[in-house]
Amino acid sequence: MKLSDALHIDVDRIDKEMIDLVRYDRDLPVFSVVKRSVLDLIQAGGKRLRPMLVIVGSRFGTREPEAKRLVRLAAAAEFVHAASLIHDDIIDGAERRRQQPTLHTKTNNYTATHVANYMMARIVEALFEYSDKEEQGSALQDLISAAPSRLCLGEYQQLNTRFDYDIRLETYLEKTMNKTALLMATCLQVGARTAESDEWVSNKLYAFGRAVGMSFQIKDDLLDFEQSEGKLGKPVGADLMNGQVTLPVIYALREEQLGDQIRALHEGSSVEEFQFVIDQIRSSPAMDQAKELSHRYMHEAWELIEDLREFKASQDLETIWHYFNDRDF
Amino acid sequence: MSTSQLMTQTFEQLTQQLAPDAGIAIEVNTRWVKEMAHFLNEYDMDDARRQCILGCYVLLRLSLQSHGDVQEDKQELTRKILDGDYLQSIYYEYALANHAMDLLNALAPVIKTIHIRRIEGKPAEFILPTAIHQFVTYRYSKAAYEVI
Repeated sequence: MKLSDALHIDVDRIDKEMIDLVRYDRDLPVFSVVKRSVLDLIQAGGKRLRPMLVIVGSRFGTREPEAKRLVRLAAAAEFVHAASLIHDDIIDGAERRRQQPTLHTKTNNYTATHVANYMMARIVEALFEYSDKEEQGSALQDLISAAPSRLCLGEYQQLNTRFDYDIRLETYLEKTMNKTALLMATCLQVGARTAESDEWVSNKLYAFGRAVGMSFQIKDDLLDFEQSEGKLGKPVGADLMNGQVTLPVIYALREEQLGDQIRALHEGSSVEEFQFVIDQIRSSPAMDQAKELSHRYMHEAWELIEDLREFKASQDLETIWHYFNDRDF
Repeated sequence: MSTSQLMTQTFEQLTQQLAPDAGIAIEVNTRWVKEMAHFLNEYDMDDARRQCILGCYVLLRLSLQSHGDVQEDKQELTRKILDGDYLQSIYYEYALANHAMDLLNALAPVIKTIHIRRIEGKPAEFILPTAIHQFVTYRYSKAAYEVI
């Protein structure tokens, strides 16, 4: 069963809201590369995980938020995510996403950069249309300001620690929080606040989003070593070849001989040299150690569900928990 | 507050706002900052508000500059995109911290229009300072100076 069906969320309604935001933007010409690009992006689909988190968060409130406002907020979360992916793809030089050519390959770097900027600007404009002053402040603060700035910080940290084999575990965890977990946590929290949840509830939801988000990224780091090139769409161990010292590598560095082999790798090392070390990491205890930390985050997330048992929507958190826990993609 | 004081204090505020990991250094002495600072000083508003408007202008303009120059060179490209994104998010943070919802609301469609025009290859550099001038002249009257 699809996650949206299990959560009883009409994803088509969110997609329609995103499409309408662009289609009925009077500042866009009828035939516009912006309009076409954003509509193509929406129609290419996606999991819509972040909008779903916003909606699930709203189920923990003290009042039901106006449906239109909630859908717009959900669409905003997806716009923020999609805009960041456009910029990520340019930075990574990615040619395909979801089996489609990436936007910058269809247009160019300059256009793609500004289409993503348009999406961010449009959503800020749209949030002002539907919210009262206090809500505007909260949604803007969480979704448009804090989450994107932390996303950038995560990217800066990644850039600043390329091939840095002395990276501390805390730095890796902070980077992971900024790059992945924070937006998921924020989505749940924004949804809860929109429905005027108690502060302790929105904080628990934030912590839940953080925990599953951290586990999600660690699994992603593991999949980079575990899955086949065909399934990943990039070479096995591509993260390490790009200088990213992820969790399995951090643990592998603690082993004397393997650590030395990893430290010998640099930007100019050959593919064969990388492949040899990547194979060593794959069969080392570092993989299980990384899995263990991922499990610990999932355990933490489960305990947070237990804290929220008085809410019927805690079942939705369980559904999300299983979705993350069973993930092998 | 003199124009140079306004500029100095605004830049001190902005520098505190930027995370060291970003490694962004803001240049104080540019003609466009001086022009805006001088313009703001002609209007009757409190100093905190003046600093807020100037700070928002600087962050937005630097963000746009960064994204206006996305090169093909990989290292440079990454920095330009990240810096532009980061400065934009700090603009929102800074404006919200200074309770400038009216400015955010007024500039939202303006920023959007700049991106649309840039994609269409149309001139867009004049739009931001013009919008801020309009925002200020609509809300504030010119300061009266005593003539001795």
